[in-house]
Amino acid sequence: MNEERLQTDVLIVGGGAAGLNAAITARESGQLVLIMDKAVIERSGHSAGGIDHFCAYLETGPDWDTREAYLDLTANSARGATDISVVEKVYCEELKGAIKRFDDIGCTLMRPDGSFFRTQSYGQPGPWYINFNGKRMKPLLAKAARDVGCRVLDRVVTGDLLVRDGEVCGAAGFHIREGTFYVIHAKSVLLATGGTNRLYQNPTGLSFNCWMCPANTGDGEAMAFRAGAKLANVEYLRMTVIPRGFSAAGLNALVGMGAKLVNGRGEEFMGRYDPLGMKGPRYKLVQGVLGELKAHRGPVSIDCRHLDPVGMRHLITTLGYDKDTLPDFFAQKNIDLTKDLMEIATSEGMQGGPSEVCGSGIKINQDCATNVPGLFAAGNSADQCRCLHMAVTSGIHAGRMASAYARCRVNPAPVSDQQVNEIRDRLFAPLEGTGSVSWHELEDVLQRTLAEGMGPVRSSWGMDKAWENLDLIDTWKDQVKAGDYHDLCRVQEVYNMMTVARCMIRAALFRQESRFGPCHYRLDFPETDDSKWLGQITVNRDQKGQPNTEFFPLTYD
Amino acid sequence: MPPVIEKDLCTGCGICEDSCPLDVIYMNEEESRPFIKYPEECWHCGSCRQDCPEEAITIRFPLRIMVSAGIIPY
Repeated sequence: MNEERLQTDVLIVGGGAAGLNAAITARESGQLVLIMDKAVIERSGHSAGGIDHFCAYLETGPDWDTREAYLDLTANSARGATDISVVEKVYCEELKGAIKRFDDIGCTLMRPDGSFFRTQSYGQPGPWYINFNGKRMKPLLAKAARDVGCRVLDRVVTGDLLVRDGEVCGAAGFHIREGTFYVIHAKSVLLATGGTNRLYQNPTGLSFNCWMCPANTGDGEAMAFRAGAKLANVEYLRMTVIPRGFSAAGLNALVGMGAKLVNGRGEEFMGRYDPLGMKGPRYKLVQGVLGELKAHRGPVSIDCRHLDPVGMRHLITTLGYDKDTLPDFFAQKNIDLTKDLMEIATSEGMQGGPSEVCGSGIKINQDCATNVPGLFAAGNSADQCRCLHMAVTSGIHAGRMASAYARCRVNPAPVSDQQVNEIRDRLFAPLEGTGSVSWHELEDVLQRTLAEGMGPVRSSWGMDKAWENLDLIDTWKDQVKAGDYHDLCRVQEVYNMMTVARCMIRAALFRQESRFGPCHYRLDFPETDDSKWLGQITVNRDQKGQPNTEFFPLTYD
Repeated sequence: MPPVIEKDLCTGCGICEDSCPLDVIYMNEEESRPFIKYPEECWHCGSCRQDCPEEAITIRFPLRIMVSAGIIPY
């Protein structure tokens, strides 16, 4: 296969909302920037097809519209997972610049009259979600990144980081159609690869019918782990509430506009599960739906019929901004939200942070830096970031910090040929495989393993069993076969999911308590215990490459 | 097969191929027309349809989504 070697100042892995905001900031500060994405950056990542909300306090006067109120909610809703000192620097300090970035790229958050359309959900003390038309946000961000002079390698998936003397100095990957092997030397590397999806079976059996982007498979988390970086909050499993059959985004718009969950008896039941009822945290909505179904009070539906015509029009429009094809789904299922109840279900699980304001993944400090010199993270792949508001703010912040790091560093010497060859041999091995195990089969076995032992309800024996199964799957790796480079990308995705799964299991075993409802419920330790577990479990590799767990305490006022 | 490409309307410009975040759409070089190479890897994000300048793409949900049978909550 062909091999190409390139040099840059800042290498951005993943050209989604976080990565492109980082790239623009780093390039504007004068650094050479190279972006690698496994798709084409105009439509890659979770916001590829559109997005409809951005969470912000705007300091308009009321107590709920302040930085203090935001930090209060963050501390309360993600207690034990969120590091307030990081959120202040990464989100609060960058918020104004983030809102301006939307204007700069031509995708304003404002309505034509200059006002913001704001809605309230998920435990917020006031309407923090700005509704906007983000259907073209990605193409506009991509244009801005290209216009400012970022170099882009589209359809190049990153396989591993280059490390020299304990410092990250680049990455290597391959083109998912042509197979060209790329080796990039860089002064700093920023991971913005999103969260980890496709770990759990989809209720329909279609693995790619998932709530968040199915291309986001923990690639960044896995390569950071291999390079020695710490992960955090990875024990938490995340679910949402979806229209039955279609794992579409849109719950926030429904809740924000006043939709209600009702059970088979027509009862509004959320008051039984959270004092805020429908305005409670997302995981409580999931808990409520599961509770009603298990109590045989299904089916559970969303009721929008009481909305006034103006609100209904806004809702239907904004649902289409968040998931372009959701209106098609309604049409093909003959669902008319003005007249019908819409049956809902809980989504597939994913590895994700416990709330809308706290993430999971690569542990970052106030500079979006990891514990490995030269390596930064932003967006949904970073442990403190979640949703668009933190993708944009952390992207800008991480871009600035990775750029400052690069400015102070001379060009690193190339890594050894041995390191490059090892990465290439590992990445391309499934092309030479003589066995018959496809990535589909590998993914299916992984998903079944996690469903059995690592679902929302956990016990030590179930997790031990899942770990043993992963060991067994590893013994089949030499039987895995990829037919072409597209398949090879999928194989590497499943391998990365397996690495994240191992980190999940180790962290969940270590946390001998339950926290955040169905995000981490231990049958053998059913209570939340702040006296011992108010903080994060961090996971990093030991000398044998196995996950090593530690407790990182967090304090709250 | 979620995206359906209307061959009479399609001009073979190839924009949909680049729009797909999941590498699902490929060009048939002989016919100079796109086709859905990996239908089960579609995310139903609608990027291809939004970007098609000829409005030649519609979305048709697969049977497993339309019927969604056998859903067992955790």
